[in-house]
Amino acid sequence: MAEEEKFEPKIVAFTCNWCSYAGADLAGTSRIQYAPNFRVIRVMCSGRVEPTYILEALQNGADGVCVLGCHFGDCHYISGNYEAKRRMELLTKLFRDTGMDERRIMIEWVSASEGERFAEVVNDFTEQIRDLGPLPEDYQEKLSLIKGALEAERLRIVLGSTKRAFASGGVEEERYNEALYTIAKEEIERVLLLEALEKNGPSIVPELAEYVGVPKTRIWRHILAMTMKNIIEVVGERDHYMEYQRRGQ
Amino acid sequence: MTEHNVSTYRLGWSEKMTESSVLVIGAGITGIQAALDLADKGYSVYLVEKSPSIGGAMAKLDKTFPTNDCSMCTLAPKMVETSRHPNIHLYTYSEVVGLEGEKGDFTALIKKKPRYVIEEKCTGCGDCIAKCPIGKKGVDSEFDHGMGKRAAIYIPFEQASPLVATIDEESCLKFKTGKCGICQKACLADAIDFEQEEEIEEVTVGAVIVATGYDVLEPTMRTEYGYGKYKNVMTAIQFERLMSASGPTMGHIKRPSDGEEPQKIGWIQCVGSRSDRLGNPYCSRVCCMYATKEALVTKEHSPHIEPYIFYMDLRAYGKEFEEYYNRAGETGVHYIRARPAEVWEEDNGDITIRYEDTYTGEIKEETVNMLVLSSAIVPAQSNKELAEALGVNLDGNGFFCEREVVTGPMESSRPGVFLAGCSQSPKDIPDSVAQASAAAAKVMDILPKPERIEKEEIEETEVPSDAPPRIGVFLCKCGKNIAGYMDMDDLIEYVKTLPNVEHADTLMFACSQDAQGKIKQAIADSDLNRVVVAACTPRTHEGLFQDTIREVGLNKYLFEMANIRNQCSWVHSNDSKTATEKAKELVRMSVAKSRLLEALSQGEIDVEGSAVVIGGGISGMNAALALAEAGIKVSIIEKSDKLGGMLNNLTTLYPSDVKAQDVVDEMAKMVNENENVTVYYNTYPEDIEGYIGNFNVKLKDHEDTLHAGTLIIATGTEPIDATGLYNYENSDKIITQVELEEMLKNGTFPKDVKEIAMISCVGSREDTGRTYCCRVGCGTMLRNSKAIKKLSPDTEVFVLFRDMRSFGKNEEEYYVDVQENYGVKFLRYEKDQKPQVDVEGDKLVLTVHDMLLGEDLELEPDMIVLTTPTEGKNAELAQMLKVPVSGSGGFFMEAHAKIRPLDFATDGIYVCGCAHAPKGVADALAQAIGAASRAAVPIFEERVKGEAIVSSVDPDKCIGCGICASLCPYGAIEVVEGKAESNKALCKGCGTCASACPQFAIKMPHYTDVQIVEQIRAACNKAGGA
Repeated sequence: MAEEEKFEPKIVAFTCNWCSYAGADLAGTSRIQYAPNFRVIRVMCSGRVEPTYILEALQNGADGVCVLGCHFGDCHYISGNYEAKRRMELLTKLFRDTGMDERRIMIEWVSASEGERFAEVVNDFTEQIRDLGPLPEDYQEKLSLIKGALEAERLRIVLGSTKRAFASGGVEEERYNEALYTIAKEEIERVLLLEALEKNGPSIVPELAEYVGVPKTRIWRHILAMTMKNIIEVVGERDHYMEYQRRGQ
Repeated sequence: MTEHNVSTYRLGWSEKMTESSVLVIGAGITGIQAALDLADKGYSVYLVEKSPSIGGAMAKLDKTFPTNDCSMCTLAPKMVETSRHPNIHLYTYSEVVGLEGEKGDFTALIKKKPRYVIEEKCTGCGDCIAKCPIGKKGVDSEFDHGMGKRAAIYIPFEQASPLVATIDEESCLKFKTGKCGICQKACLADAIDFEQEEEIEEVTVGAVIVATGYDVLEPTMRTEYGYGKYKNVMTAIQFERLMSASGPTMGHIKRPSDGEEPQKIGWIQCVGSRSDRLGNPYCSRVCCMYATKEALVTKEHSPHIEPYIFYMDLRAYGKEFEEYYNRAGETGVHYIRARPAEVWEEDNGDITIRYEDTYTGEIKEETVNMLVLSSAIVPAQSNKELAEALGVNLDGNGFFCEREVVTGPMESSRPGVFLAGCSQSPKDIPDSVAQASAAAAKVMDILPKPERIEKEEIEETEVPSDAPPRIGVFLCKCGKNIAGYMDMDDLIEYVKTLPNVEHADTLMFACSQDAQGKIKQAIADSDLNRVVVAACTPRTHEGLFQDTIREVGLNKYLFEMANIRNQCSWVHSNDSKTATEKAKELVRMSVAKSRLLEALSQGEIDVEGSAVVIGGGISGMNAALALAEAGIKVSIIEKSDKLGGMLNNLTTLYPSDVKAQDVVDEMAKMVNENENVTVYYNTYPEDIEGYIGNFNVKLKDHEDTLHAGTLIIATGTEPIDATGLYNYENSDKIITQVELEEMLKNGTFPKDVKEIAMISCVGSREDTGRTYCCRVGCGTMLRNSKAIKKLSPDTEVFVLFRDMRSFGKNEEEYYVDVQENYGVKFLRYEKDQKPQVDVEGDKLVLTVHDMLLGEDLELEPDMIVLTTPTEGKNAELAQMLKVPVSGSGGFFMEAHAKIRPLDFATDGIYVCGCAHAPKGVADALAQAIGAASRAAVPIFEERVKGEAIVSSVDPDKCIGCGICASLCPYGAIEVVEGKAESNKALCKGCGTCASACPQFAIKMPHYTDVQIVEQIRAACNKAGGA
C-alpha cells in the first residue's frame, strides 16, 4: 500500500489556446492550488488533437491523457470541439472493447473564465488516475492495435465525414456512430490480421481466424477487401486453403 | 446644461492641416491607446507622462471586471509596444506647460523634470535603491497609495516603462543635507546626475489629445467614515494594492493595524460622489463594479472571508456587468442597501458600521475587521494648471469640458485639442479605450495622412532546416512571482544539461526592456537560432518576445514559451520542490519542441483603401463620417429607407436636452453631402467573403458587390416584443417606452392621463434568458417622466425601479433634477417582489410593495409604461463574418472586454455601438468614431502582414477526399481538380483539417505532428536527453 500511495501519475493534457489554456492561466492568476501532475501541450484548437496523439502519450509513459476544449458554442473555431468529442467517444469505445480502462482518457470543457473549474478537472482526473495506478504493461499491445486502426485510411475517412454525413437529409447520428464503430472494429481486426502475417509468415484463413479471434467468414471478407486494395496477396495453397502474405513481404 | 448649436457639429470635420505630429498628454491606458492608434497610422506622437512611468491607473489594479483578467498582464504588452514604437516619442516625468498657435500648427512646451538619473544610462538594476540610506521602507510609495514604501531613489513598479530610477528630491539626503551621494557610488552605469536641471522643450504638433486621467478622492472630509483616523479604514485603490500579487503584501490581504487576515471586510459605496454636500454631485461610474470585483476576487481567493457591500443603487450597467454582480452574490458577497451614517473603531481595531436598513427603516450595526471606502474618481489636481496651459475650459466639477456631453464628448473648447478617458468624466477601461480611439479619429480627420515610410526591415538570418539547433533559454523570475516559489538555481543547472541548449540565463522580468536587450545580446553572442522563454504565458507575452528576436533577424516562429508562472509557480506555491520539478519538465517540453521549429513567413496583404459600415444608425453614420473625413471611401449599408436608426424614435438625447431629430437630420445631411460616403438603402449583406484588406460584400437585391479593406459592424439593437410581460397584450393602456416616446415626439400623448406609472427592468435583469441590464432604461424613464411633467405638470408620474442606474456624465445630476424639481415619485422594488399589473375591464391596477411602509401599495394609473430592453439580431451576420456573438442578448463579442472593445479577434472587422451591447448615444458615438480609427489603421498602413500558421496540403499525398474542405469552418480549403488547396488568407490555423486527413497530407506549421509528438515524448521523459 505504501508504494501505491507514492504513485504520482503522469498526465498529458492537450488544451486549446483560447478557452482551456486561458482557463489554466486564470487558475494561476487566481492562485488556485492544484495537483502538479498535468503536462499541458497547447494547441490552437481541441480539433487539432489527432486521436493518435492520445495513444502516443500513453505509449510513451503517460498514465492518463486529457483533452480540454471550449464549451460547445464557445469554440473559437466554431466547431472544432465537436470533432474532438467524436474522436474521443470512438477511442473510449475501443478502449472498452480491447479491455482497457476508458477512465484513462477524458475530454472536458473549460472556458477562459473557469480557472477554478480547470483546477477541479486537474485534481479530479489526477485522483482518478492515481486510483487506477500506473498504466498496466499489457496495455501497450492494445494501444498499438488501436493506433494502427486509427491510422487506417478507411476509418479516418468515415471519422472525418461527420459534417458531410449530417448535412441536410443525411445520415442520422445514431446510424453514423454505429457504422463508425463497426468500421473501427474491422480495422482493428485488419491490424491484427497483418500482425499475424508478419509474425507467422504466409497463413491460411483458419489460422488467421484463430489469431484475430473472429469467425472465418469475417476473415474472408477482410481478405477480399485487402486483396483488392493490394495490401495482401496470394502466395500459395495449403490444406485446401489459399495462403496469403502481406504484399511485398 | 450646454446649449446645443447644430453648426458646431462641423468642428473637427474641416479642411486639412499640414502638420502630422500629435501631442498626447497622459500615458495611462487611454493615452497609450490614442498614441498607438495614431502611431500605427504613421503619425509622429509625443507622449507626455507626468509620473516616472507610463501605465497610469490600470497598472495599479489587480484584476479587471467583469472577466477577472489580470490587469497588468493585459496592460504590460501595450506598455512595451508603446515604448518600442518607432513613431512614439516618450516624455516621462514631464509636463506640458504651454500651447501656442492653433489647430494644425501648435507649439507645445514640455517641461522635463529632473529625475537626477540619466535615462539613457540607467539599466534599472536597482543597485542604487538597495543602497539608499533612506531605505526601501523610507517613504510612502505613491504607486501603492501609501500602502507600501519606497526609498528616496526608486522605480515605481516592476514593469515600469521606462525601467529607470528616479530620485525624489524631497526625501533624498543629498538634497536635504548636501551629504550622501551613496547611490552615485553604487551605480555601476554612472547614471546618477545630481546636477540635472529642469528643461523646457518645444515641439510642433498639429493636434493635442488630453488623456490625463483622474485622481482618487482622499476621503478625509467624510470624517464619519474614519479615513485617516482608524488604521483599518482604507480606500478601494489602497485595497487594490493589497490584493495585487506584486503589491506591498504580495497579494495577501492583511489589515494594517495588526497584519492579521480579516474575516469580514466591508465596502461603503459612493464615498465622495452622488452628493453635492458630501463631496461631488456626479456618479463616479466605476465604483459599484470595482467594489464587486474586489469583493468577489477576495471571496474566490479566500472563501472564508465575508465581504459586505453597503450601496445605494448597484450600477451594473455595462456588458456582462449584471451577470458579474449576480455571480458575486451567488459566491457569497453580501449586498446591503444602505448609506451608512457613521463608523467607529473597536478596541481590537475592528470597525463597526451603523446604517439604516432600507427595508425596515431599522438602525443596524455591522462589525467588520477592515473597511474599504469606494471613494470617487475626482478630477486630477493638475487639471486646473493644465487647462490654463492649454487654454481649454474645465466643467463645474473640474473635469475637462467637452463641446457637448452627448454628441461631442471628444472635443474640448479649443479647436484641435481633444479629450479622452477620465480627463473628461469618470469611466471604465473599455469606455476610455473607445474614447481614446475616437480622439485619435478626430485627429486623423483634421491632419493630413502621413507619408507611408517603408520600414527598414532587418534582414532575416537564414536558418537552414538541417542546421543544428542552438537554443537559448531565458528563465524569468517575474520578480518573485516565479523565483519566490521555486529553486531557480536548480532549474537553470538542469536546463543547461538539455541537448542543444547553448545559452541559459535568468531574467528579473523577461518582459522588461532591459531584458529584451539581454535576449538580443545573447542571440548575437551565442549565435542562437532558437529561443525559449520560460515565464508567464504565451497568451499575453509571446508577441513581445517574437518581436524582440525579430529585431535581431531571427524569424519570430523560432520562438517557444514555457508557462512556468501561471501554470506552475502560482499554482504550486506551497511546494517549491514540486514546482521546480514541474518547471524542469515544462522547459524540457518547450526545448524539445523548439528543436523542430521552422521559420515561417507571413506574407503581406494589400489593403483596399475603402471601408464598409453595416448599419446607418447614429453609430454607423459617425463611423462612416470619421472615415470619410480622413479621405477614405465608405459605403453604408442600411436595411431601412432612412438613416438614423433608433434615434428616429427618440425625443431628446438624455442627459442633454438636444433634440434627437436635429442630430439625426444634421448627421444625415453631412453623410449625404460627403462625397466619400455612399449609402445603400433597403438592403443588407447577403454574403460576405474575404479577409482583412480584401472584403467583398454582396448586397441583397443589388447588382453591386462592395469591396473593402475593413468592415465596421454598427447594426445596433432592436426592442424586444413585450408580449407576455405585465399584461402588455391585454390593454392598450399598457405600452412600452418606445411607444410612449413616439407619442411624446408626435404630440399624441393623451391629455387625460392623470396618473402614469413606469416600470423598470421589464424583461431584463432576469435569472435566465435576458440576464443583462438594458443600460438605457433608467435614463429613458428619467427623460420621459421629465417630458411628461413638462407637458402636463399635474399628471402624477410614478417610476418603479430596482436600481437607478444614472451613471454617465451629467446623468446623476439629471436624476436629482427630476427628483427635486419635477415631482416625479420614485418607488423602489426588489427582484423578488416585482410589481403586479392587473387589467380589470377598463381599469389598470398596479400593486407594488412599498418597502418603507412595509405594505403593498395599490395604484390605478391611466397608463403603464414598460421599460423593456433591446436585443441583438445578429446571428446571421455573425455566421457570415465568422465572428462570435455572446451572452443572452445576442450581441457581438469583442476581442477583449477591456483593452480591445472595438476589435474582433478576426482582423479587419470592428464593432461599435449597440451591436456590441446596449448603450446610450454618448457611449455609442465614442465607440463609432473609435471604430473608425481602428478600421483606418490597416487602410493607412496600406499593407498588412498575414497569418503564418496556416494549413498546407501536400498534393502528392492528397487523395482528394474533401474531408478537410467539409470540416473547415472558414471555407479555407477547396478541392480543385482532385486535390485540396488551402487559402492562406482565409485559414485561421485551428488545425482540425490536419488531424482529420486520412492521408496525413495536411501540415499545420508550428503545431506539426512531429513537434507535438516530440512534446509528448519530452513530457513523458522519453526525449530530449536528461
